[in-house]
Amino acid sequence: MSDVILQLNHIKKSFGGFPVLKGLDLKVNRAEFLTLLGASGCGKTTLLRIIAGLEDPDEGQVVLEGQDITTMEPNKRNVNTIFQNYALFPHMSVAENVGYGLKIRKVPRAEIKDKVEKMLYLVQMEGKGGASPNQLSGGQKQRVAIARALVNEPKVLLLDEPLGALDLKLRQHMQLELKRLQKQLGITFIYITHDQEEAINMSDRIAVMRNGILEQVGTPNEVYYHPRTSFVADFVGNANILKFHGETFAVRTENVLMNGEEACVHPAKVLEKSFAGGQLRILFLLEDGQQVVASRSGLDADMAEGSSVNIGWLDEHAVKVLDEGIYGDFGTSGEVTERQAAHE
Amino acid sequence: MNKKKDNHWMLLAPIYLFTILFVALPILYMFLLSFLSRAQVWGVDFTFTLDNYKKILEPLYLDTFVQSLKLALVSTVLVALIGYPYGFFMARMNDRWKKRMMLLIMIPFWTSGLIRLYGWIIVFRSNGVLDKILQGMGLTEEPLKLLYSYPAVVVGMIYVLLPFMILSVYSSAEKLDDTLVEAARDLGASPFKAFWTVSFKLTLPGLLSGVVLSFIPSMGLFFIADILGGNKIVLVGSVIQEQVTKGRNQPFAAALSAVLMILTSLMIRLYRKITGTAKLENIV
Repeated sequence: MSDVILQLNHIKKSFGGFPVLKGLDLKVNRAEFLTLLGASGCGKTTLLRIIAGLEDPDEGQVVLEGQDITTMEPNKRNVNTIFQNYALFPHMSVAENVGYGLKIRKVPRAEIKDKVEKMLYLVQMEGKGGASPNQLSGGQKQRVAIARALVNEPKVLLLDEPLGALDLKLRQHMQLELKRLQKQLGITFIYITHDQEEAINMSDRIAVMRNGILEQVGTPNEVYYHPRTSFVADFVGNANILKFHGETFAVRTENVLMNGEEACVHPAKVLEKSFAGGQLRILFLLEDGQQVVASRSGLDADMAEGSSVNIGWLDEHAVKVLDEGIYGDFGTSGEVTERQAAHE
Repeated sequence: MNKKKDNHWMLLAPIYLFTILFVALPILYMFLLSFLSRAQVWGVDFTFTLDNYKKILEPLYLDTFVQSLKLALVSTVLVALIGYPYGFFMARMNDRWKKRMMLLIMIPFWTSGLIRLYGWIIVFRSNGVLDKILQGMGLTEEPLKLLYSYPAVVVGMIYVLLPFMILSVYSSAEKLDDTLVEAARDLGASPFKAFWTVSFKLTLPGLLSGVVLSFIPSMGLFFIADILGGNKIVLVGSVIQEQVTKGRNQPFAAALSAVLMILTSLMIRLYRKITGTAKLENIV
């Protein structure tokens, strides 16, 4: 049904003996917005650079529209990248930046001017062609970087955490705008982020990456409601990972019930209450030593720290997942080991 | 607000003072001196005259200027051709090679420049090191008689000026952001195109300051021409030095210096205009 534009076959890559990508397979559909979601160090940027041709894989193939481009020079690939720091040429004007790719390909001057103007209009930077990149704000630089890539009409656009340096409000605005551009132009986007909210907001599909492999690829719905592994459940949905009778379940914090509802069959103690991000978070300790976080909207719940209550969840909210831990190779903090200890 | 402004001035004061004392005043003194006449026995006669400048127009001195400019141009071009790649690649190397390449430039500075120039005499003189090597390889039979020739002076110039070019190119190539080159490649540029449109353009300020650092001194490096060129190659620098020490004509030496200075700054302005580096310097 869907039309595959880019295919990655068993991509492997090591740096100085340290494996970063461990045989990764991925199919990207035409005109879809695919997000590579993962913590820093999971290999997502390396994967992007391999697709762009800026890095060669040790093993595996990159196939673009049926053509093997694994060893093709980056300048010959019909793929463009938006770099994390925008990488605008400081010695060129905004218009020269946007027209760079066209000029390199010897497009006639009048046509370049025309296309650059259209593209600047598309990213709402009309009339800024004469400005120097140094005079622009972060959001504006971002728009120029997008225009500079899109003007070449790439088959696939790679975006490496393009909104990472922007403040929250601007980031949310740019998320909508990127999505709009992608729909409007019908170009395939491969988008890197470590922000699960951003991934859920923008993507047609999300590929959750961890330690050089893909843990799960699916629509935001699938990944959020049907996580395949404990890692995905934790990373995407902030779920509690609980073990009962040798099986592992993911229960998202907003689905934890308390205060005498029918499903509340687990006696627990209130360890801690905190207020964060418009939500009250309550940390419970179950009798078997596992910890459960519940989140509620509102400022307080009528239970004191240290008091005993019954908590629970509906059967359909406990999703059975493969137990693969919840941390990547690099994610071990004090809190982590504490929670891992609680798991044992 | 006021206090902040005061502090600002205080911080800059030593720099202003230094510049006025050691740059502006000597130049002013030199220009004034160039309009005075030479005293009969010793010193300066305080009567205004343009004779010093008229004297420069005599063929003897005019030729010296032309010859100096030519040598400075040739040396600077060669220094740029050798020094730019060296400095650029040194900046691109990993730390270990960077240190080694830097050491190669630094080692000569451990001995006096004059002594190193005398070293070149041993290399260049008839049946010297170079002749022996070439004859040993069977490439030449007769001594090349390189010492006291134009090429020997050029080699000496390059030798003395090269480190300035390399370090100046290196310092701007070090700041070059690799992702800019990657972005150029990503946007369709071949390795050469990416170098030419991005790397070279962005390191041009380094090349320019290297050119300035080579061109200005090469007009005045009289001791190189004296040591390696004998009496055959007379540069403006040598004439100035002779006028001050042997000729005791300080006003004329000042006029020569003034013309030299004006010529040099004109050349550099021209160069900046052609390459458009003034614009680049503002952004990098």
